[in-house]
Parts: sequence; C-alpha cells; structure tokens
Amino acid sequence: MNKPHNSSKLSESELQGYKEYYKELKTVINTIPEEIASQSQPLITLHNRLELPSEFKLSTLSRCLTCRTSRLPNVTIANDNSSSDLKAFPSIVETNNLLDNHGLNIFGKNILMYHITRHMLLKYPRLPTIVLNEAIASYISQDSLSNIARSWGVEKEESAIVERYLRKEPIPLTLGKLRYFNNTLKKLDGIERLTKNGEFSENAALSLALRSIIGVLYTIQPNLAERFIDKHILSRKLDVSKLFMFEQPTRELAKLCEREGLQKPISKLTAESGRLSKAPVFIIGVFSGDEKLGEGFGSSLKEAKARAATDALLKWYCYEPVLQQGQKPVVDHGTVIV
Amino acid sequence: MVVKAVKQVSFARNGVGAFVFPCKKITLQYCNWGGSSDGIRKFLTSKKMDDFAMANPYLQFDIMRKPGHPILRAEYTNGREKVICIRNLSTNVIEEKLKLLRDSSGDQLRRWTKNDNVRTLNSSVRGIWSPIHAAKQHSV
Repeated sequence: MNKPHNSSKLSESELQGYKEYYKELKTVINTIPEEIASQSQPLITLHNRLELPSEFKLSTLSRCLTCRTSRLPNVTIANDNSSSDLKAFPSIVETNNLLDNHGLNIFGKNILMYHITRHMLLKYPRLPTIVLNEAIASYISQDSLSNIARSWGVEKEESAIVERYLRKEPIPLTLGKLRYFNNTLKKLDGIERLTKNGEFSENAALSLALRSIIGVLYTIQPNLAERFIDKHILSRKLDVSKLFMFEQPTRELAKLCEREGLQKPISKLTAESGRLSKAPVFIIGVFSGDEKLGEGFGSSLKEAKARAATDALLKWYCYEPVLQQGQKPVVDHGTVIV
Repeated sequence: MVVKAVKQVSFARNGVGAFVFPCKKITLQYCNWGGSSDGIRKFLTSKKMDDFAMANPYLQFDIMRKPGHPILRAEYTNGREKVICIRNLSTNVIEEKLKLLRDSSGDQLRRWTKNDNVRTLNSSVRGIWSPIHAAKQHSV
C-alpha cells in the first residue's frame, strides 16, 4: 500500500523540478544575461572560431542563434483557457518579449544583398540582369548560406527539454546551440511541419543565424560586416561564365556588333582535321574586321561556329574591368535585345 | 530575351578568405576505476590538459566519465567524427593523439595517387596544349 504512494510523491517532486528547470530555461532564453552566456562553451568556441570582435557580445551571438520559431509556450494554470500562451505553436504576428533574431535577420539580409550586388556589379559590369540575379543567388541563397553556417560548426539543439532536464544539462549549454522550431520534435517521432517556404527547416534556421550575425556586425561597425562578407561569402568560388545559356549566339553577336558600332562578325575556319573521318575537328574563329572576337571548336562546322559566337559573347558579358585609381566604374548599356 | 541563366552553386574554399578551424569539439572519455585509464587520469589532473585547452580557443573540450576503456572523440565541422582508443597510453602519447585529432581536417583518409599532388577548382592558366594551335605544324 505504501509503495505506490511513495512513487507518486516522488514523481510529483520530479515534476516540480522539471517545472523549475523549464521556467529557469525560459527566463534565461528570454533575457540572455551576459554572465550566463559567458559560461556557455559552444558559444565561446563559436565566437572564437569566427574571430568575432570583442564588442560582439556572447549574449548577442546567442540571440542570433535564437529563431522566432523556437519560442517556448508558457506554463500557465490549466483552467486559464483564454490565454493564447497555451497554444503550442503561437502565431508569429503576436508580440512577445523573446530575444530572437527576427529583426536582425531582416537587417542582415539587406546588408548582404546590397554588398554582394555592389561587388558583382563592380566586378562584372556587363552581366545581364537574370544572370546577375542567379550569380547573387549562388552566393546568398538559403542553401549556400546554410552550408556556410554548417561549415562554421554551428550546432543545433536537438534534444527536448525533458531530456535535458533528465540529463541535468546545464542551462548555458543550450545558449550556444541553434534553436528553432524542430528542436523538440524529433524526426523519429514522425512529426514534421511542412510549409510552403520552409521557414521551419534546418536550412532556414541556419541562414537566419548567419544573416543576423552580419546584421550585428554592421551595428558595431559597417566595415566589419563588409569584411566578414568578403571573407566568408565572397571568397567562395563561382564561375560566372557557367551561368549563361544562349539560345541564338550568332544572332545575338551580330546584334551586339551592330549596337557597339563594330564591323559585322564573320566566322572563319582557322584549322581543321579529318573532315572525312569519323571524328572531324573544326576550329572556327569569329572576326569583326581584323579583330578576333572569339574561337570555338566542334565536330561540325555549325557546332564550331556556335561555340565561337558563344565564346565571343561570354568575353563581352564577363568582362572584368581593371580599375585604376580615380577611374570611374564601368557602366554598361545593358543586355543585347534581339 | 536570348540569354538565359543556369543555376550554379558557389564552392566553399576554407582558408581563401577566412579560415574556420575544422575541429570543433573533443570529448575525453575516461574511467575512474579501470587501469587502462591511468594515463588519461594523470593527463587530466596535470597541467598539460589546461595548457592544451588554453592554447586551442577554437575547440570545445568535454570530459566524460564512463566505465570502459578511455577514448578521445573529435567532432569536425564537416559533420564527421574521429575516435581514438587511448587505453594504457601514457600522458605524452595522449597529448600526441590529441594534437593528431586537432590538426585533422575531419575528412576520410584517402590514398592519393602520385600524380594527384595538385587539387584545385581553378582551370590551368596556360590552357591545354592543342596540336591544331601549335605554332609549328607537325609533318611526316
């Protein structure tokens, strides 16, 4: 008779302990005091690994890792049904006092977009708009950004609060991990929230964190953010010429020459080998007057001619000006319209 | 519009701009009772562990007590981990093993062939030699 009574008592105290742990966790996440953040090993090492300046506080870095979707529901009295806090997934429109990265992300995103666009336009002034957009996307699309954040070793919080409580995990530890919607719902449970724009996915959360770090850096000093973008994002390799696909290269080249006041492009066969064999090779150069605009190879004359025109167009569009001191940046007339 | 854009991905080049240390966490697991953990117990209580941790601010060190042989487990930014069993090893050898884990990129070890010394994303500056473009044509 005594035994079940005892065990129920024990579980009740355990529940109380969990409640306290939960409340403490919630207040820490909602306020992020610097002295608690400075006890978080993952946070400190992440700060060191990214070589962030000392003005970039650990509590701010922890805020960058807090996504709005990670908001914890309140512990309230069960009969208080009117409270919207009882909802497990509250609407994000609701005002809350959570220190999350929502605003920082928007700020960082705009800085990132501006800086990358500026860099691309200065480096390749003649890129057509759609190609330029694609080039920018290859740097700052959600997939690229999440890959960068992953390569920094940003850890995500994967265990539920109950598990953390049972492990007696110190609260500062969670401050150094990426917290977003899926933290407490494991994929193993078979529960996954699917949305159109995937705002609850891991990739989205990682890129949110990265953008907000850039936002914070800009608030400390604008050129810090620029240097950070240069170092971490623009240092990636992108072959711009691979972004192009021409439908009618010869026609477009003819139009381009007409617009730029050059002589009509003429394709000339410069070398060939094995015309009557199984594997012929033709080398065709496209000339405007005496000037050679491009060259292409192919196993038929038609193929070589198209390759030569594409080569000439790529040389035009992917032009990289070498700017001298005091020289004005190159401003292009725009894409060729056929 | 005649030009169309094709989706491309930009490639990461760690070290070209910023260098992010590939090793992010090392867990030192020891047993409080077993004789095979003698070396690691000495290592953990000595000044060596402190010095090593101070010298490597990029790394997170976790110390874990668990029955069984002691191990070192390193986690890397590429998502992989490397584990070394350190049973019956002395403090000096353990330090060497720690350095080995720290300096590793986390990639799987591969045997590269002799001519595979240069691995790059960039195309050759000189281009590829072509018989058709050679200054002097070969004749028989």
